[in-house]
Amino acid sequence: MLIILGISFVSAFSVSSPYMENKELNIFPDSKITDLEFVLQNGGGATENVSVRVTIIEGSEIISITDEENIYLVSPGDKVPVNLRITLPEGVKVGNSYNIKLEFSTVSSGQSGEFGFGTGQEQIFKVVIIKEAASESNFNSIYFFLIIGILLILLIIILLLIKRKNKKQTMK
Amino acid sequence: MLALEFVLNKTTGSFLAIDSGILLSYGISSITFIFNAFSISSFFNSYFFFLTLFKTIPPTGIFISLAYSTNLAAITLTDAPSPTFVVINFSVTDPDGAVNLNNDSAALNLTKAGEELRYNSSCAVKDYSGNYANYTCNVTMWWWDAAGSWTVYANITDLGANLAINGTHTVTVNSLKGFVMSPSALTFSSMNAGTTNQTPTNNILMNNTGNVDIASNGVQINATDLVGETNADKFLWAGNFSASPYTGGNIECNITASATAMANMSYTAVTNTILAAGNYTIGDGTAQEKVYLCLREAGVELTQQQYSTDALGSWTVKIV
Repeated sequence: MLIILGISFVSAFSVSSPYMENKELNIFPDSKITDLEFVLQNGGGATENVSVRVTIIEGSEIISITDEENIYLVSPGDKVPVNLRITLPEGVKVGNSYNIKLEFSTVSSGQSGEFGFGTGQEQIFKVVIIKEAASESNFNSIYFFLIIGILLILLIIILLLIKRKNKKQTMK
Repeated sequence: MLALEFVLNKTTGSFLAIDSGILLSYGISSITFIFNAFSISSFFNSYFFFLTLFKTIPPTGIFISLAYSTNLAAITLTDAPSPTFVVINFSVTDPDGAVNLNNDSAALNLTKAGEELRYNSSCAVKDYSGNYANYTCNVTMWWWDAAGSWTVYANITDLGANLAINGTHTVTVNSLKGFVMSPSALTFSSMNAGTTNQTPTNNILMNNTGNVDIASNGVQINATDLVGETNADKFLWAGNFSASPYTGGNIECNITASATAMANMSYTAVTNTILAAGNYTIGDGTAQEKVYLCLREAGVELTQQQYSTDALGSWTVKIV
């Protein structure tokens, strides 16, 4: 009995991400909403469309998909955005962190007699709540006004000394 | 600009002579100066004058400043096998006029430690006026270029071969994660009910189409039972399949050695699989991984019919 297992390979896809396991997303506590964009591509020499399902595996308490559906049709050579939103809960504190795990997988319709194969991948990153640092411009402004103030005081002292000197000369 | 401070003795009532030799020692060939006496006081028994000297720059001592005209947005690389063309503009200011710039020397590099240099050695003049010129550079990047911060170096020379470099900017390359599999069919040379350790004559080949290294055991397979299409009570059990990056001597069937047994409707990491990023089109194994499947046992109860994933869903190969 000769068996040929006819594999139905669904075209592969790739995901471009601004954040990854070694690049966390830092958010200030007052940034209630942060929008993110991942990009789906159907490359690798693909010639057919691919449908990709996006599933939030971890972190659903703060991240959501803002597109109408979570299945995206990607044509060969296309770049399709996946829009997500981080919404921080009330009472979030500096130092809090959240693990995000997203799963991207192909959606295939099984066909009779086929040994179907799909592809998938995980995107993992961390959201960390950080303290808002004092901006450099504020720092510079403080020093600018401090220097101006010192110069003004020096100018006043010099003028007073000149005035006193002139007064003494007049008295003589 | 060179600023010097002079303190004059009040008893002389005149300026100190400026020795031209001293000026020359500062590299100043000629000077002009603005004299500002903003305060005169005998408080310290001296008069204070502040003189500001402006150096007249000779034509050969050109000064060039570079500034990028646009904010550099994060780069989304194009999936393999296509290149990504990154366009970056920068501007140049030359006190001797834009005509003094050597346009053929305008170049731009993108660098990151451990990565190949990406560059455009012949940026084009976009526009120029007076002392200002704007250049546009098209740098070719590839899908395996690492994610993270890349330093941008723009450089140009003038007609006197004076070089100006600006390396103060960085640009972020986003991560790109993906792979493609082949072939389109797996062929078992012969398979009968009750046989063991049947391996296909070919294997699954995975090519990394992104810039993310998939670490050891980072390839997972979610297997499903193959159900008989005529008699749905007969199965090729998922648990009877195994996978391995190795072959020879049926090692891909040996789950007590390095092979990994599959499990029905559950992701299982294929032990020792690695899929590093790189240029897989070289075809020498770079950015490639092979996965060998094995049907360790075809049940004696099986009948001759088609078995498929139609009922329980496709297998999924995943990278994590």
